[in-house]
Amino acid sequence: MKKTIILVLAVVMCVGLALAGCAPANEPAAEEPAAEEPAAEEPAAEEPAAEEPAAEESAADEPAAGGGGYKLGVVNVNAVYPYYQATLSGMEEQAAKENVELIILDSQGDVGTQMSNVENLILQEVDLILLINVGETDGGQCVETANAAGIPIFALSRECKGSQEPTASIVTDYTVADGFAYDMAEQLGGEGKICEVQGVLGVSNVTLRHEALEKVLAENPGLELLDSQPGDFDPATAQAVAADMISKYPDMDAFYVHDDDSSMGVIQAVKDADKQDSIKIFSTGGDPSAMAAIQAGDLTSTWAILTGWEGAQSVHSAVAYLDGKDITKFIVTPSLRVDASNVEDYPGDYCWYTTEWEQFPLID
Amino acid sequence: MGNNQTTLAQNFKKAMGGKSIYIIAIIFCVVLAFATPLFATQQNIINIMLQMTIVGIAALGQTYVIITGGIDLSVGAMITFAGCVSIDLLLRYGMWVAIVGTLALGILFGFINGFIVAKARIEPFITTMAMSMIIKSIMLVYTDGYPRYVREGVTEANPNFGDDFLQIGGGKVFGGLPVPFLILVIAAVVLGILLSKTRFGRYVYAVGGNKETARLSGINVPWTQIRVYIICGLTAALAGVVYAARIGTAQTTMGDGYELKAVASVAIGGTPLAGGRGSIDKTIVGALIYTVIANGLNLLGVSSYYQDLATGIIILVAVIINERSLRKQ
Repeated sequence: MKKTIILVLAVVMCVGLALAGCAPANEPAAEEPAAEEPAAEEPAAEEPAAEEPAAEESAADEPAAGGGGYKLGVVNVNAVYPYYQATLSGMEEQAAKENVELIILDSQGDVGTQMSNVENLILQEVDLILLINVGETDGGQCVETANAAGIPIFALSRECKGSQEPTASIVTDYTVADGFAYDMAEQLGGEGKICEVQGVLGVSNVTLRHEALEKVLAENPGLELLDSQPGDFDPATAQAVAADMISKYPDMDAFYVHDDDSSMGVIQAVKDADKQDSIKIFSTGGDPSAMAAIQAGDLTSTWAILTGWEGAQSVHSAVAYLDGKDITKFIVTPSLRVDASNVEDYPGDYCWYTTEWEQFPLID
Repeated sequence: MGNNQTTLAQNFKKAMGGKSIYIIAIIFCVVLAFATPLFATQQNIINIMLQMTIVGIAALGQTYVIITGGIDLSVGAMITFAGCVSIDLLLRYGMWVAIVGTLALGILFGFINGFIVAKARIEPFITTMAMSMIIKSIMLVYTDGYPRYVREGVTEANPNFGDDFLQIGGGKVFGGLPVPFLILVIAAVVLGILLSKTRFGRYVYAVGGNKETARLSGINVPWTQIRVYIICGLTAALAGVVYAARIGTAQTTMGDGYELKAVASVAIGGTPLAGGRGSIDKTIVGALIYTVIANGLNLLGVSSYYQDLATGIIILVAVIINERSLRKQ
């Protein structure tokens, strides 16, 4: 009887592996992008920070032959973050248009797993790797490993610092953090008492957003930073931190929140304290929940990053590179302010999932 | 003929007694080799060696702790701390100071853990969880939240700065054997002999089996406990150094979750969390299975949404089979 049970369990295990092998490859189908056309008028934000194509740099070293039909390996930073799922959706949409196969692996926010994923993609002989890096200093060895294998690698979302440059970078670097911080200063008229709810300490985008705030504070003596605490990108933690800040600084004017998820917690803390009229909340991301909060009057603004566009651009650039064309090697993903004045133009998940922006066409 | 078959089967069962985890590992590898032609390639075998290293080294010390009936939840924080400190010391003083200094810190943290568990008689779960928080906080203060990376030290005068350190994580010896895997093998052999062939090793099992009986037998239970936590701190620090050398960088979240990966490897290897039994070789097989699952699912192109589901089921089935086999034995 025991032998039978063990045999059955062994069979179950093998079947489990086999089923796993039959499970849908890569990520589930992307959400459909919002159907609305982009608003004709310019958004109330600065121009996107995309650099001009670097014409002097030829990107083609040894491209694979033929247009389309390429196999691109994608290393996603963490599948649990909807922001990056929107990036993947943009990739999938563009990949379908350009006849490209995507192999998507998840690093689960772990640098070691990220490195393993790059090794696994090299083994699978992909034509090019799109790396959504865990942190801007965490991908250096990945770039060296890919270069050693002769496989081009693009850095997405954040730069790859190291001894070797990635083939191209399509990132939301300091210019996006600056955009968010300067926009808050502009909306406050250069005056006010601020509390900062950070993300996870030590993560590179958190560092960039904090540094951007420090820069803005240095340039605007009327702005005062009362307190700065980590909210860990977690609404519950952010709510607790924000509630304590409101108690400690009842005359505060605004929250500078590092992401839209945390903002949901901060909004609740402000509501609990009945301070909706006196405290403004500035957030960043462009999360669909933030759009709803702006429409409801709970959130002052969010600095929306066009993450779906970034995904589409990465595939577009990858195919162009593999076709042997010159490509722009450093692109900053566009971002813009969404507030009560223009939120109707960008409903729901529009900022994240729409890749066909009239004002932000894909760059060659 | 029938008797011969019975004898053969009995001999096989006797030879494989308590070794079902090896059979499970072999089944995994064979199934995956048939499922994807990429699995059994030389490059993928090297990849697996590399990918199991960090968890494997961390799991070695965790095995000692778990055999005594304890658990060390500060392993992940120690890996992070070791990674950050090793690169910082590398940038300031060079490779050997980085390695020796980091390992010494691992021993120190391990000693503190062991001392509190053994002398203050605080539950290991609480002690090491609190230590994990303390280490993380010290690390944030130490690094100011900024990541460190090896190539920071590159200058025009020294364009190859860090190459020697990076060899620890990415170098190859003997015609292709990854250096980190060699480190894992050496550490496993040393700790395996220490556990199975020495008086101290017998004390470890005795403490895990029954502390009171061990004490009455004349074993210095607190000192044995302190020593196993020191070993765990040392292996966590070693894992952190190898990890930093493998990826060339260290940031304040790099070790998150590794304490549970190490515990999972130990458990898959058949060491019960209640303590009293277990071995280093089976922990290595546990780490191998853990790594092979992730590697195999990636090569099969399984969506990351399904990977944890598949991993969870496979681990559960493997542990059930192994546990039943051990009970039968």
